[in-house]
Amino acid sequence: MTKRYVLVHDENKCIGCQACNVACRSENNVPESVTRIQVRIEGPYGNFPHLHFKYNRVSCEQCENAPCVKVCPTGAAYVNDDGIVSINEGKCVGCLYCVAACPYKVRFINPETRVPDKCDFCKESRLARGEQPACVSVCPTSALTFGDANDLNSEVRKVLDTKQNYQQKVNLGTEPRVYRIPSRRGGIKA
Amino acid sequence: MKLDRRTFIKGAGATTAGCALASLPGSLAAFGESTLKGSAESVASICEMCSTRCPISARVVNGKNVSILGNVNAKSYGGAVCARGGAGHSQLYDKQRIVKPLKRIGDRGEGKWQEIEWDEAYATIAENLNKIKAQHGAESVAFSSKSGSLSGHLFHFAKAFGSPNTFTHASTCPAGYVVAAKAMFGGKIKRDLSNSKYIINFGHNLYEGINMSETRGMMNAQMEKGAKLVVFEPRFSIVADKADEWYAIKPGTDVAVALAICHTLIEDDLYDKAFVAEFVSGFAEFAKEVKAYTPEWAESISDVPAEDIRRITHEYAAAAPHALVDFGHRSSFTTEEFEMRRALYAANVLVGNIERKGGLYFGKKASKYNKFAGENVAPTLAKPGVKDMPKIDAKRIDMVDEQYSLLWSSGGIYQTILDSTLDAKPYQLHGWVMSRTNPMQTMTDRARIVKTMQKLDFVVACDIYISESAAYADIFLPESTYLERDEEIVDKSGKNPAYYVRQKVVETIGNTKPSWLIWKELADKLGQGQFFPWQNMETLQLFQVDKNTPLLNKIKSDGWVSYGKPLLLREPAMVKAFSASYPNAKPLDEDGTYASQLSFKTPSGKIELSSNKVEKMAPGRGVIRYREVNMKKADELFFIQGKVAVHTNAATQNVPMLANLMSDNAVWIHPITAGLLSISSGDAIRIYNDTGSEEGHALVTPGIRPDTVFAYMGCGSKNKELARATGKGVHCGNLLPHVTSPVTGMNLHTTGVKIAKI
Amino acid sequence: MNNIWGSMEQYDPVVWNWIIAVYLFMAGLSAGSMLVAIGLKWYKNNRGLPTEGLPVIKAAAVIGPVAICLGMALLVLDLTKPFEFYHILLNYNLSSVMAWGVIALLVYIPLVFVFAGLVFERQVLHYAPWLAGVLKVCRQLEGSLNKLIFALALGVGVYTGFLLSAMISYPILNTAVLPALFLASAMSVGSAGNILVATLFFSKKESDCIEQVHRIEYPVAFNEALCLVLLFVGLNFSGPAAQAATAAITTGAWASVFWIGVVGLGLVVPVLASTLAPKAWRHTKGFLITVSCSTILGVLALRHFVVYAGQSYIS
Repeated sequence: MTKRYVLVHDENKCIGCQACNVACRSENNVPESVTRIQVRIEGPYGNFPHLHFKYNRVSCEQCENAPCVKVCPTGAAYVNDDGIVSINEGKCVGCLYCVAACPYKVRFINPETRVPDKCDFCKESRLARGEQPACVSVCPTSALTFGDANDLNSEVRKVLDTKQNYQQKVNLGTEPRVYRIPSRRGGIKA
Repeated sequence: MKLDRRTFIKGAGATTAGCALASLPGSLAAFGESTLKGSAESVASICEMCSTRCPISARVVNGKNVSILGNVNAKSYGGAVCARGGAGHSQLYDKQRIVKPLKRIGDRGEGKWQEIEWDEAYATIAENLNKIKAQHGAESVAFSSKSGSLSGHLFHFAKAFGSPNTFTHASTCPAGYVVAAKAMFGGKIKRDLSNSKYIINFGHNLYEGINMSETRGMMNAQMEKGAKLVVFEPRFSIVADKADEWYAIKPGTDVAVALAICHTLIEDDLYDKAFVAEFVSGFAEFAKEVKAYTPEWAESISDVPAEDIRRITHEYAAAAPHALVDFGHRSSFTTEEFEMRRALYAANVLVGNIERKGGLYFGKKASKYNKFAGENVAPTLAKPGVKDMPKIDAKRIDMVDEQYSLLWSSGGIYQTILDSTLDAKPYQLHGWVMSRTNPMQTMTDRARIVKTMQKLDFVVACDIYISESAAYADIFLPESTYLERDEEIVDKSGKNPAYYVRQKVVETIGNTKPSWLIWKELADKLGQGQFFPWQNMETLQLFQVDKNTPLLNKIKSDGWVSYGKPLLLREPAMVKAFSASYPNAKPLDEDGTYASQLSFKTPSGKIELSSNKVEKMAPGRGVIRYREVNMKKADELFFIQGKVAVHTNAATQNVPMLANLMSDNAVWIHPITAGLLSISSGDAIRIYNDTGSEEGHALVTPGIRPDTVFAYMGCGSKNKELARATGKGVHCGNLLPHVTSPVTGMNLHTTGVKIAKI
Repeated sequence: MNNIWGSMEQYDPVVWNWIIAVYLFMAGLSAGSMLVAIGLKWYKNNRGLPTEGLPVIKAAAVIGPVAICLGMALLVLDLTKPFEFYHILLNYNLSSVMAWGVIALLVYIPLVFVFAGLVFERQVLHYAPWLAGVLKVCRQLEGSLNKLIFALALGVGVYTGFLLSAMISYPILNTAVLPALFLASAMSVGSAGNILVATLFFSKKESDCIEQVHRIEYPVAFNEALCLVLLFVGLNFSGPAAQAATAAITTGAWASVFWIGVVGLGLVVPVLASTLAPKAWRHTKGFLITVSCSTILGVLALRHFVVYAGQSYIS
């Protein structure tokens, strides 16, 4: 059975501390002017005193039905066997079509390689060494769960099967592999 | 190092903020390219991006950068590391970091520097210190340092030099809860957040001012074990967001709510009478005092509804003893800091949560733990002492008032350096040697610190950057960062003994030196080398472990070594498991605990809810009492500050990765207040009072009381050497007045300000 | 909450900029001028009239190749790796609209050069007599080639719309009306371009078929206006995100571009000019140049409006 790597972001446990943001930059050598991930603390929403923040993880959603892959004219953007949306730098001409087409706006041009860059679940930097993605490893409050959703015994499968969760912009049919456990206050803003 | 496209771009990016700094003498940029040499295998060490000092595991990746992750051996830290910790390598090879000794060639604070060699730096310092010593006595030089190994070595130097005046940042940060604990329990106490079922929090910002094991523990208790969290805080912080209930309490009135909780516990007969009878002294006086502190009274002061205080107290008592009132960390919210912290402790004592799961407990260091176990479960560490240290007759400059005596051995009243320098109270200071401390930001009344610096004969600063305070030094000594330093083994015992150690991950960059070496070499120069008999750090480490090399190696390779089972003396299950593990363990009490062994280093040997000792030190304060305080003028707004997750108070604003995350501290203003002042989010504003005036930006948000404004502290540096931080945001220290709180000696972090659109 | 997560510059939803807008304009101009010229040719041929040396056709033979080449040059220069653009000619992902565009353009571009070669046969042979054989073969196939060019020009015109409409998260772009709108506006800019170039460089007397070309402007303008109405009315009924995007024509700088440029210069000015202007003016050079320039600017404004406003509203 092929792997289906997914990530779950628990918005109740997330404190927006940016440990993930920094660890990702460090582990993947992301240039200073760009970022693969940020957690935006949005709000507060609601009415005083019943306020709440939304902890919005912004990073590649690893769509099953990835618009970036669909629009790429050369096939440089592709979905790997493990479900990770990947980039073949050699084939890329830098037309920015994928960057424009991404509904989540998480692709950017890496100023050093001149090709699109984004979260790849630390495929090269950590998964290959048998380690969890950097953001998952360092998260102070264990708000992130990562693993193979095709493995019915995996932690990530258990979380998805037992906790209410949602994906962003499902109406676009992109089928993201990043799932979110909604905050216990306020609604789901997908 | 070959200049390929990658490094070219990296260099270009790194200098965007500091083109003007390319020529800053002593900076890594001026020093030239240096390669990163270090271990490609993970090295266990200790973080220093804040004072929590989490265990980390770091390695050099391809000679280019350093990967810093948490050390998985430290279970309660879970291998996690926060943004500041993860960005440590960005400070390591920051082009603006200072890597050569400097001497001032312009006026103090003017920013004109010249690179010098270490020898010249030492010679200049030795000459000046000896001159001051000869003319005015050694005590006229003050020494202040970040605590830990750093302060250990600097303060040892100070003693060898003959000065009693050594200070940590205590009175600007944690002294409140430390002093209150000393008064009540006879020493520091810890909180078992991870096992708590009910947590009452008075703005202890654990989800922004991250203290890794406590932050993880509290989140785990909340989300996995269903603990309830109640937060009283004027601002809607991240902790407030994660709470089950948040009350926007009026700034500085926490003590009223805490006392009303105590009142309700006693009046509604919810307190643990057996515990109080056995372990508490001064209960009657306390109970008499708090009789008046009804929830209705507290509501009139704090804006927290009386019925909620009453309900919360009942819920808290129902969850007790596995429940706690968090006694907090940094502040001082008011000058009544001492009463507030004691009231918070009292709310714990009354429910008898001491040495219970989810309550408060004392650290179990090896010697204590071994006594209970009846065998040597954990090794103990030796403390190196030096024979024939000079006797110091002079009194500390903060020994003017007996009421502060609990602080004298715990860091002292830092801000008395200003009184002593400017007003010769109790005598005149002439020199200041500071290491990794930035009082310009963390103390109060910045203008007064500038005056102090200008008046002193000689100022030495040892740091990584030319901080706002170091900018006024005569000699600047560049310290190696923690990633380049070895240090002594540190005792990190919690419920059971544990040790860890800081180790070098990369070879020293540039011409920097570790603190312990700097002060040792300087002592040599001053002719006091005999007081520093150790050769190097390894000598000290071997002394600590009594030459037990295998033990030292184990601590070094694992980075975190803990011994035995967690032990809380009054928790039956834990005590049972403990005594089952150790055949020679102390016999249990009748109730299957070690409760009878519980002792307190107070005059009565009990928890002193009311204290004669305190009454003698500070008349009128023996019993915890509410006193009205006036924090601001009628037409002013409360100004409060707090910590953000990506910066450590005043230390990290220039670290590239963190500066890129946040370099400005927009001021939180409630929409109603902002509306009256015609201020919208993003508007430039002036925030001012009698102490100072600052310019910044507004952040209009419902997450703050209408009578209060808030800013994350540490921004708005005023010296040009910190190119990424200077002039960005509001400098909080420039707005806070110089006030010293009774008993705790704390300076004050709440004041009144006015706001105007500009 | 203060921003503690760093710069958000890279998340700007406007990814494609004016270069792409101008490219889309150039491709439309080229395709439109071809459609108009070939259409005119067929119209004349049907009536047994000569088409040889018609200024409008000459103009198309210039605009067709020049515009598409300028457009392609801009496109390549806008790539982050312009020197590796050949990868796009070697690798085709057929689920990508752009890949189909590349295929269409690969055939279209040489064919418009052939078209131009046939129109300017005399001049070509003067400078490159060795092309005589090729041109001869082409001349024999001219009828079929024109049909093919017409079909490809339709394709290119529509393609520029589909290129944008394939991006599913932008409500203004992600609609089937967009290709039709782009085709209609390609026709109007094509005819205006043809009139402008013909009037400036090839026309001997003012009336030279320009009248006939002029006449298609009404239906084209009507279609363009209809597409715009359909686009925004449609958005209004397509859920909250799409509804929010209708703000593009009511607020902000791009609303001004829309009303002044797209509607004013592109539609109102040409239609009013043709209906209200005194007869005496209508066939003067100045009038033709002014009106066609107005149309061209209007379509340029439309491309910019669609590219910028279209990307500014994301669902």
